[in-house]
Amino acid sequence: MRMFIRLLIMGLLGIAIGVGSALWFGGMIAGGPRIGNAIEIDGWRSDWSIGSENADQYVRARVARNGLMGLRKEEAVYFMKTEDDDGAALSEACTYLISGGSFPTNWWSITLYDGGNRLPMNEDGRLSFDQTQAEAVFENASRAWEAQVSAKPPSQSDMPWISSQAGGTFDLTLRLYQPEDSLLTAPESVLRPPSITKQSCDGEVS
Amino acid sequence: MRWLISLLVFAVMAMASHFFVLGSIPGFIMNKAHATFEAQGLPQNMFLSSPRQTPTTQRIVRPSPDLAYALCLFDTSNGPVRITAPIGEAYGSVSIFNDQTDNVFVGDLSPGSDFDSVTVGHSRHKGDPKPDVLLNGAGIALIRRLAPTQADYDEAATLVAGAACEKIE
Repeated sequence: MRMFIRLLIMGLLGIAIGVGSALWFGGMIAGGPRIGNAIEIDGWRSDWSIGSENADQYVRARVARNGLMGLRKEEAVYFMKTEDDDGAALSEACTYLISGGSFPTNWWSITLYDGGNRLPMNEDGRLSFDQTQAEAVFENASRAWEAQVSAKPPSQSDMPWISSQAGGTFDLTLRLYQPEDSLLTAPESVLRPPSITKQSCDGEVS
Repeated sequence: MRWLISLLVFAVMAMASHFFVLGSIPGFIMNKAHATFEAQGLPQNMFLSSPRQTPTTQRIVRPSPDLAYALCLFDTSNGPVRITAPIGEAYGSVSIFNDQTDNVFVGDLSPGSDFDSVTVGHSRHKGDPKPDVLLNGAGIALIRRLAPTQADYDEAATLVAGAACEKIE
């Protein structure tokens, strides 16, 4: 009888650990891994198996939870960054300057999402920055661009702005639609992802 | 020896439940998405334009506010489905997802593309014509079109009338 009870307890404990770890590694519990981390370039993380039948069970579960109906890599690739260039978590309390150039793709966009994978609940109408805006605002041969990420509008009126108001601790997602083959085969040598520089935080003297 | 057996039971149960739950997550979430869309009035076999994606209109996680979306729910259990969508004047795609969230097909709707239509289903009887995309059961077709402005969104929305995901009789 004691042996049976011991086995029962160990079995139930095993189920609890197994279920809990599956939910965490599958991205179902806050704080768990987001999508995939197979590719990392300057802190921007992605996984080429998103949307593919070849994705492993972990990537498949995380994509279902954090990026339902994501496209496979031939159509779009997704990079996510949760930290600034100094490694600090991106926060609504801080102002950031993001800057970059062109990407080997047909069209790109950068969108801000809150910790719940949602567009932040604000009415600023500045949820993303994209190639169309970059080409309209920055007319230069090198295609260099920059934008401010902050909870309040930039003091410089012509500076493109992504609002982080109500974003809490957020992430930025870079979408690259119809990527060139070179990006898919050698992402580390082809892609120059945007830099994210913290400029100031609430309560700091800038 | 008794503790060894106990540890073995623990390990087997932990691994079995881990992989069972992990493998169930995509299907569970896709079923939930189907139920949510149906509860919101999305009919079967008809593309419906989603409202422009804003914090208050977002229905799925991580929507792109720069895109216009149109969704169609379908089920191939009772026969194949043909999906058509017109080519637009900017970047666009029509993608198909099975009930495990796999992106089993993408058609290009950008200018210059020769996409016309695709058949989706499975061969129920010997001799049935083979569909372009094999999918057995529930699926979702999703049209994305580049629409960073309201005018672009309005234009993309007008193209939805020319799209279809009808059962093939």
